Amino acid sequence: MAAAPSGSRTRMVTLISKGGRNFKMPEAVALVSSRSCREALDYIEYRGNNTMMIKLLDIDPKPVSMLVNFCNHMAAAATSAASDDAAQRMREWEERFLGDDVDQALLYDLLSAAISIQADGLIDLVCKRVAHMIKGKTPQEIRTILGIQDDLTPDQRDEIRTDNSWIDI
Amino acid sequence: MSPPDPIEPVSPPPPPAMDFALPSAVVATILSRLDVRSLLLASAACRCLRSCASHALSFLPAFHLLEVALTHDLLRPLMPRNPSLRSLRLDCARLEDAAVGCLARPGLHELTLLNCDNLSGRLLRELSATCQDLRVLSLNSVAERRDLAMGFSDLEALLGGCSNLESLSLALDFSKFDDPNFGHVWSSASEGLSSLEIGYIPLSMLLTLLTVAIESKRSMDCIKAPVFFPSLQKLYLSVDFITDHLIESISTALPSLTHLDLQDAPILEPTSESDLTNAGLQQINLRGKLKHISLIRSLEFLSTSFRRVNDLGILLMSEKCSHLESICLGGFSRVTDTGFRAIIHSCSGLHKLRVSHGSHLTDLVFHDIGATSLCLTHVSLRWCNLLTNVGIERLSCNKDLNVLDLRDCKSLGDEAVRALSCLPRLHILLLDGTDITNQALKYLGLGTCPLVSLSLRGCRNLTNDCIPLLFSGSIKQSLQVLDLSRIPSLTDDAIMLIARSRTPLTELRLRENPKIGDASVMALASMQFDGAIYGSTLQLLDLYDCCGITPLAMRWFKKPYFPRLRWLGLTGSLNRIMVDALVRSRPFLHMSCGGEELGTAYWDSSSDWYRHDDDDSDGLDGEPVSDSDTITED
Repeated sequence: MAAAPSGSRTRMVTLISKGGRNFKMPEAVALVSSRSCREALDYIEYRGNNTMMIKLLDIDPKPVSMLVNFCNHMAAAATSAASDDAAQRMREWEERFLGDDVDQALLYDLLSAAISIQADGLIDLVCKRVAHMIKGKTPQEIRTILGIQDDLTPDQRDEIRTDNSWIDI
Repeated sequence: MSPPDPIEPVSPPPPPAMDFALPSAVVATILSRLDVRSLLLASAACRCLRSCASHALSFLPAFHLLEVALTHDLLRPLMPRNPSLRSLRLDCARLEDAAVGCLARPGLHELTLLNCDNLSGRLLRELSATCQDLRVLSLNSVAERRDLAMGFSDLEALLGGCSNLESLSLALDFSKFDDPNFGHVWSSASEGLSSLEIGYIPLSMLLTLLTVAIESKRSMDCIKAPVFFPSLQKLYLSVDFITDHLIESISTALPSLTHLDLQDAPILEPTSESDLTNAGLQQINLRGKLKHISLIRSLEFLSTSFRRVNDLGILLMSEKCSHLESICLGGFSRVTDTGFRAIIHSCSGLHKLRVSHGSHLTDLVFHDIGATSLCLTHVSLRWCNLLTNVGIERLSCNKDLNVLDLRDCKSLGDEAVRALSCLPRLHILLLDGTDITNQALKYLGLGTCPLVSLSLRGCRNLTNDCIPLLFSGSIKQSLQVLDLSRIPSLTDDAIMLIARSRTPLTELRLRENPKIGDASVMALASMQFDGAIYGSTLQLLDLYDCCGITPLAMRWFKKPYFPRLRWLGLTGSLNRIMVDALVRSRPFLHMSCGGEELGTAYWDSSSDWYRHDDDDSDGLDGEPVSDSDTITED
């Protein structure tokens, strides 16, 4: 595993978004949050003080900055003691993090960014959020919310209805 | 289906189509976070979601479907091979032995199966062979059907095979497992077993088991002697008689117990050798480790009580009970205020207090409860006829009260409710058979309790006017369960007022109300929420013995009305043909025509308690069996 450098500078990991914007996070944070970083950093033998750079060139700056923000917060929370209060505060923070200003497009971009570096914590959070949006809704409502077209054939629709006769579809 | 939604004049940009924005593996992951019903509804949205849903079914970690009893044919396609499945909860009312393969899955850690009447002992054998990683197992009414066999060898197999069990709940009659080896077989049970619940066990079998366990403990041969229940902390069971000998044996055999829940229902008057006395009660908490004690004598068969226990026994018991968090005393008719006060003042950590048939319990018990540091959250005082408004006023200084059951306390009236109406955390309030009038509901309407469940069964002084008073305030936002049974002056007008108040009730009981008729059904059926869906968020509607209901009302139960109805109670003699037709058109609706209480969360009327509330930690998610927020549609 990574040994602390003898110099005073902490090593960073940089994510590069569309438009060449850079977002940095300490290596320790990246190791905790991202599976890809863990695997990559494990594999590289000599780094010296070089920063590892990850290119996410097809993702906008905003989701990438949110991703870095999330990773930093999770790493900080992991070090503090676990308690009911801490869990409650974490839930509240997550609510604010994915608040009303996060529209679906941003949500999907955030998910793509999280998948690119395999940030399991954020993937889980966003998946739960999207699932919550469609929980208990009828198929038509789901189509409206998710912006999808109905492309089922009548045969397929009938099949679904008979297979699940106990729900009114 | 209909064409895409028309473009709105001024609107935010339409959401990006999820099926194009995200890879299908991610969509499947999202779907795997849904409950089963939502997952299937999503699968009907488009081709992409359909195939992702089908993929998701093969890696769901939990499959919970308790609100409907599916047949094997309907269940099988929903449960493909799934090595990630860890938790399974099903209602097996329509499953037979052929379905056991679907139920006993390798890799399961948690299994809860309800209504296993049509499954035989083969289920237990299959579980022992296939589900060896099982940690939590809960089965009820296995092999109840007459032609099905279940015996000792099945229990033996289960205990031996599932060697990682931590919690075992078998809500069945253990006399089926009677065998000379019954006691010894428990030494092969999982060493980590910490919680054991038994439906009913004959006292003789239980005493034999405990004797074997005690002898084994005392045996000199420490290496070869079998070990019984090394980790058992929680024990819940029913016997025929609770006796001193039983208490003593339990205390000796199971020294690490923290939760003890015993219930009996005598059919004969217990003799002095086979009853609980003060001496026995002293043995109950010898090491002072118990956190939860429940001793109930049910009056189901005979009008009897723990006659040989009085204040002295309770006083001596309470001396060792400083760690007690929950106590439940049912049928202690000789205990007076002295005894109950002793408990309140000795048990500083008490959160749950339940007393039933406390015929000598008066207001004095709560007289100086404000001076203690007690923080009661669940209080049940049933059939305590000497309790008056003053006592409740004192009790209401416990601001954390969450559940309050005051059923059949005939001397309670409006002033008691006034005292309760500002409790900020009160979610469940039961006032059946009390002496309240409309004024009490006015207090509730003006108050600030976030009530979720309110029961006013048998409050004969109430009239139609109580409804607008009740729904005048914030209760509309929280109330889900309402019981207005046995209120003779309640008419259809009251129900129409409820419908107009647009309170999204999930359960409404109107049993035995002579003036409730078809107009009520119509009013409830036509409730609309959020525009689109017809009628009623109602999942349970009980109209048993409402004289005004005629066969004309039946058409209001057909689709599309009452889309979420799961339980319906009607009087059986109502046009049999129409009832049968309804049952055919809505096969997954539980219909009750014989007057049985509906629903799974109903306060168990036979034993007058609901047990194991320690398990529902918020106390509030008291619908323990179904996934919350699921649409139930037929």
